[in-house]
Amino acid sequence: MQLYTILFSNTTSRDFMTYHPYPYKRPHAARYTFVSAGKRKVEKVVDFVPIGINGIMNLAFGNLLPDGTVDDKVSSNNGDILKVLTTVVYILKDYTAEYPQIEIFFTGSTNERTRLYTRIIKTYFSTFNKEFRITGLIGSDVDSAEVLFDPKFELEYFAFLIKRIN
Amino acid sequence: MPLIKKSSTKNPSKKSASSATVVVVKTRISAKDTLFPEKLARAKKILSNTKFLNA
Repeated sequence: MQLYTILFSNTTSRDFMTYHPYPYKRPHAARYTFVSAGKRKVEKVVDFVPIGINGIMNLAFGNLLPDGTVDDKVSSNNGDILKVLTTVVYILKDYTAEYPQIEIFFTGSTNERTRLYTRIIKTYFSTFNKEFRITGLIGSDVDSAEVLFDPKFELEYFAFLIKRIN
Repeated sequence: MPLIKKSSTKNPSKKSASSATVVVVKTRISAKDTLFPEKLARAKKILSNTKFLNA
């Protein structure tokens, strides 16, 4: 929790997001957990796992179920989606601060979620862009191209790659 | 899933010396241990079919 406090207190850009992140734990070097406390309490888990291609790590997150498995497709409808995503962004900042050389891949588990991620990146691009190199993938799962993320780009990105630059 | 492995190594030059404990902290989650195997499989599929910007 100490690192979280340091990160949060060091955040100088107040327009980063209007939502404060949930406190998170790091039970493993590449796994984080936190509790979404909206209408009810939902435990979330974030994993960084090597994909085995170009040293890229996959970022995945979902609901941690009581039996230890996860559900990454369910819509929690907990009324705190932006606060949850803010927390994931802070976790991403924490992880990449420790491993700045690593590139992170992520995409939504549904098209709707991917579009939500796109909207958030577009909205906060001027802030994210100072810390991360952001690229998007266009095309499809079986034939895609990586392009620099452009908030004015009209085609749809279906996945993203980010790498810390500062 | 063990997150920390502990193992003992003995100093071969000193048979009577006490053993030392080596703590190995795993810094990565292996593909078989991920909680998100479907997402990982999809990521592999996507990136293996991607033309990278700096390729």
